[in-house]
Amino acid sequence: MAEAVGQWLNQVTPLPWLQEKSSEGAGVVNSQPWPTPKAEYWKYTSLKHIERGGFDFSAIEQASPVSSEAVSIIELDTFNLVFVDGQFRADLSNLDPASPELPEGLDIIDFAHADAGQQAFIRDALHSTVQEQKHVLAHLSVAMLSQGLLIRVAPETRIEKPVQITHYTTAQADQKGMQHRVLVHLGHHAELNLVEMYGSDDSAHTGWMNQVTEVIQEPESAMQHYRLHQEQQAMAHTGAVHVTLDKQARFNSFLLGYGGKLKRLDYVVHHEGPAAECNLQGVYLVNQRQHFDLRTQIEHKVPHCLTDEVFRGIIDDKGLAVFNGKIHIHKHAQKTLAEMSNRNLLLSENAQINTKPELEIYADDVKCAHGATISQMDSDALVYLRSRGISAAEAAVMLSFGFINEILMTIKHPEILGYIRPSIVRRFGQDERLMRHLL
Amino acid sequence: MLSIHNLEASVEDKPILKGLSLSVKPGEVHAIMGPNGSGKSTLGHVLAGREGYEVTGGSVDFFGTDLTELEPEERAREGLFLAFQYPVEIPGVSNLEFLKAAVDAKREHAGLEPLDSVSFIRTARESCQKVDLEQSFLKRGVNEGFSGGEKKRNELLQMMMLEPKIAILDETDSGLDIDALQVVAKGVNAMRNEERGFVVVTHYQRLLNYIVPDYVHVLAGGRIVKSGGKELALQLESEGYGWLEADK
Ligand SMILES: Nc1ncnc2c1ncn2[C@@H]1O[C@H](COP(=O)(O)OP(=O)(O)O)[C@@H](O)[C@H]1O
Ligand SMILES: [Mg+2]
Repeated sequence: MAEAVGQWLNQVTPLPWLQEKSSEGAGVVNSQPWPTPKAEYWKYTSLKHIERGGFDFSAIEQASPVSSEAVSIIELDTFNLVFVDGQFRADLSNLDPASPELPEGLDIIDFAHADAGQQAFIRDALHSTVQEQKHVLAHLSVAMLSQGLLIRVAPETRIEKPVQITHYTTAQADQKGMQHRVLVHLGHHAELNLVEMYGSDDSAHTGWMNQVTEVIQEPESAMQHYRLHQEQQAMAHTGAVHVTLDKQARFNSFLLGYGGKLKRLDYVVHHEGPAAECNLQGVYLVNQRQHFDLRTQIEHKVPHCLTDEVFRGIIDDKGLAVFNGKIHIHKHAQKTLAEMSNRNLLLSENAQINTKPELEIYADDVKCAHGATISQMDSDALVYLRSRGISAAEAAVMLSFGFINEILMTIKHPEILGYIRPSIVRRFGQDERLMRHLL
Repeated sequence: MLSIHNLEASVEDKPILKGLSLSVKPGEVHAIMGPNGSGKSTLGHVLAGREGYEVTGGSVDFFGTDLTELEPEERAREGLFLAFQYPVEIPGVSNLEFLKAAVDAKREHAGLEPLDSVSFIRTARESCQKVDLEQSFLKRGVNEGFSGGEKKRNELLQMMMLEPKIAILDETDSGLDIDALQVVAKGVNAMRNEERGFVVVTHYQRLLNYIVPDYVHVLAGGRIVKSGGKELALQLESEGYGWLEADK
């Protein structure tokens, strides 16, 4: 165990009624060596930066002035809960979890305001989706748990208006450690749209957020999930989405991942009831000297489930990206349909990608496919576009967009697509006018 | 408008064009014929400014400017259009978006506002009809999965949208059946006018029955070795290129 862990644990006061969970988490962290790239699970991502970064988890004294425009940039009507530099901001949110006005069947409960019944529910459900020791940072998160949100949708309830959780960092986040938990529970045949946004202002600041979102889906429930990561470059983020799916539950998730000083995301989905469906799509954009590491792990434990996973990445400059996708089909998971595809576009000679899609199959009657590609900008295509009067810069944007467009087009909410596209162009340091071809 | 004088060009240090001269005036249609590997496509690429095609001698004047000084996209905006012998497939970029970017770039260069989407789409649809392509081709990726003939018609569609001052058509007729050939010829003929010049590169005389050229040139060994009127094409058709060797 790293010395730093002891210090972090000292800096936070876990919620007293979750003390038992927190101690258990600390126990799991302490029972194993702190991850280093020697461990297969951390092969390409060193945690030295967070271990030695001197991140301080004690609370921020003075809240940063942030405009509400900065934290509600998607033109989508949502229940938006805003956290700035790790702390909840009622002034920027359009919902007060202390006394929320919510449609019938939807609960959004700040752990700090949970009543006895809700506490019991949380104690029971929290961390139940994190089923392996190796998820050290998720265990660390429960060990340090001082704040979190419970989102519950009652059986047979469809919540159309998305719930949005916005984490925004400012100069105040410099050297700060931040943690947050989200626990989602969808009742039988319930439906929810959830948007997780991670962003920063333009100031230079380091900082590290360790975050875990858990999703527990009862039979026939459906979730549309977005996780949009656009923190500024020097920020470190270690995050995870752990999901359990009961019979015929559907989990759809879209990821937008920009690289950063250190970014590591783990998606872990357990098919626990037959005929459940998991669709993961996403794009990652990694440039300058950024680092981005995405792990997905899908556990098919029962028959007739479906997984469809499609990720595409564009890596430029000296960026380094990692995709490690694993689909594990257990012995009894007959009639599984599983597909995974990862394609990467390298825009510079110094850009790097390590991609490893893995299928581990122990059932004999399944249909599975996986593939990964690494390619460069097609110079013939570039020539062709330029020969029609399109500038080299615009042609490069068109071809990069072309590479990820298929994935972007799967986004169900047009407002989110409308927000993401210009953001991507800006991320590549280009003029937004270069998107004029998009009709 | 286009005046090529003693042009020499190399690909990978290998000389391909070896002193080629050709002059095209507004309204004229020039046909270029010649054996495989004689440098016809190279001429098109050199004029379009493709990287890797190095001009090592001679000059190309386009409306008073030195064409070789311009970037490929500038040449296009100035009104030069090359219909590729082998059009490129670009999955992910829709044909319509591609056309919009090209048309907007050209208009911007001319100091015009971009077309609004509605009129742009209308024009694109009309042009589709003229080249006998279904409108669904606008939504597909650029040339993605198009047949040979569809690709050629898509080149023509781009030419119509971009209204160039000079168009170089590199074997736009190869691989087309007679119906498709007529569609192409009709499209080109509809665009012929006093101001616009054409250089039609072809292997077969047959296209020239439909697009009647003012001049026919024979390109061999990187040079124009013979020029004449449209009757030269018929002579080439019946005699082949064997006599070229004998002449040398
Ligand atoms: N990209 C290239 N790399 C190397 N050689 C080339 C390239 N393009 C053309 N050539 C060579 O240049 C010569 C002329 O080719 P090309 O212009 O395509 O002839 P044509 O169009 O008349 O058939 C041929 O010998 C061909 O092999
Ligand atoms: Mg050729």
